[in-house]
Amino acid sequence: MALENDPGLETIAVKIGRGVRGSYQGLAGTFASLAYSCLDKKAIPGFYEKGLIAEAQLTEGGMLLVLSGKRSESELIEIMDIAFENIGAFPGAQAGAKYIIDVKSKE
Amino acid sequence: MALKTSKEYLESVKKLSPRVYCGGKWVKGLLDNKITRSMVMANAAIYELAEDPKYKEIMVATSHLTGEPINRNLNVARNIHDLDMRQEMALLTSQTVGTCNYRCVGCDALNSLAATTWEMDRDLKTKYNERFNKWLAFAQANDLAVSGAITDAKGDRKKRPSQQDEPDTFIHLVEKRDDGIVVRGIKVSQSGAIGSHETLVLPGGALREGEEAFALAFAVQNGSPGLTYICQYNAYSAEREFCEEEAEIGNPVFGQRETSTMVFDNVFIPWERVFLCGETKYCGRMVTRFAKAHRMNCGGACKVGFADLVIGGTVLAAEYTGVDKVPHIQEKIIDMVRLSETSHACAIAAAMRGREEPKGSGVFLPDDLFGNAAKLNIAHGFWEIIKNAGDIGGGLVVTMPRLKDLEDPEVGPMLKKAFTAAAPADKRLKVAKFLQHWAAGLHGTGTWHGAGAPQTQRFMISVLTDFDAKKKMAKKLMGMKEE
Repeated sequence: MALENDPGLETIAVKIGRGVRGSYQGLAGTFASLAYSCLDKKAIPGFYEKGLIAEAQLTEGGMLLVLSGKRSESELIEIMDIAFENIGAFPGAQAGAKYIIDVKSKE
Repeated sequence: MALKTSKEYLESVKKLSPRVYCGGKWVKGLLDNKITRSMVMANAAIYELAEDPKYKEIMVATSHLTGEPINRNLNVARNIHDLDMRQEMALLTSQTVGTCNYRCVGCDALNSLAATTWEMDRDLKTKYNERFNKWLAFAQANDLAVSGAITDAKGDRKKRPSQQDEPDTFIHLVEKRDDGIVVRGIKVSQSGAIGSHETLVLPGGALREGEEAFALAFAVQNGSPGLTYICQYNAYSAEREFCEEEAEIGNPVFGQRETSTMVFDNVFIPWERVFLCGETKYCGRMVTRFAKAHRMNCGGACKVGFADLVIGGTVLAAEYTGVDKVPHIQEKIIDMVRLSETSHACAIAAAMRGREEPKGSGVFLPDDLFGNAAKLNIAHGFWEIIKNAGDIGGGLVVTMPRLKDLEDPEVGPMLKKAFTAAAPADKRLKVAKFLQHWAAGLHGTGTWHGAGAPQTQRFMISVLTDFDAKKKMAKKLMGMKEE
């Protein structure tokens, strides 16, 4: 049985500062997993220290995620990279992103 | 990418940070902890087998969804040959790592899901099979390590899931949302879940009307917030953790079977990963189909691979002590082979007599009677095999000093004097340590309970065997008239 035209995947772009710094592809529902994690559990997948999320809220096209402390752009990218790997999404093409996550450092 | 290399798997594990507790501490990196590393290295070795052209027929299959080459651990059996290669994979992986192929339960779980979700869609007009196929294609495309979680904590066995004082003893539904479900509960004895990318969670048994909250099947990502893994810990764990050199251990690189208790504390599962939610009628079938596949593979092939290693070690022990030509030793070794090979024969028969189930699904499952016979046979046989290993290996198997003591300037010469026989002391002690891993280790009880304790196989055999037909043929031969 071949899969239908829709392979059921989802692309999520990560915006840091002024531009998109990476994008991840996972099974559809990946954004919902991340959103539940950040909004309901106040946790980033793969990280267990409390208070890492200073603010998280859904936006029109995705989510605003503010991390506590002063963090460099590369540190933010690294955190998101680990977060996505831990919920089964992997670096992929930037085109066609369904959601954008705007990641910021609090300070 | 359809096939991950061993190196790529290890790289992927470095990025995983599941919440793992092992021996009194939280594990920061799966590869940095000696105990969890042994599990990951075993999985890496399974990936490596698929890279070897020599094992391509066994380890690599063709996806029925995409036509791409995939690791057989992610394959849905579509014919007899697939079933046969599946059990051969179980044999090969056990012979190679001497511990669990940690992708094995996931493989049998996904075959059960392929059959049962197809059946549910046919009967109930649900979309579970479509979802499952999308998940499977994703897992295949990324060659994910998928483990399987079946056994609930269960609580008081006299009570049904909904009657338990502690509801978390069974995985259950907390909330249904537009985008997914929230689950909580506990699964126990989960082989290799810590180093897998995902785990397939199935109901632990048949459920009745009114128990809809416990009727769940889904795939969960390893690092999902709310999920905690508490690793087993025993004398062998402590030995690995505190030894000077892992080379001293019975199975130095891959270790004992590493399991964990998986605690789900309100874990979110998006609908795209939910393959059964509330349909109690199908839980029994789902578990039975899993067991059908797993008893052939676990009982008739995996443990046979272990037995091959034990037999190999035992023959070496006999040679090293100079008793290999003694008739009763040879007889005991032949008995070990008999016990092992009859189980493998049952697995081969289970594959050869496999059939499409349900009809029209395209999914092939092994013959139930032969699969159960394979498992029941090895459950008893494996104790006999390790008993003979201890018998022939001698008391040294449990009384030996530390291997490293041979290097001590003071006691080393004494030990060499004591333990040199038909072979040098270091060889004798090395093989004694190897046999200790089996004869005094975790595999006896593990083999007994893995794929279900023997009482479950006895029950299945009693259901599957046509005793009336047997009585009838006996009566006919005796000339006894039918009443």
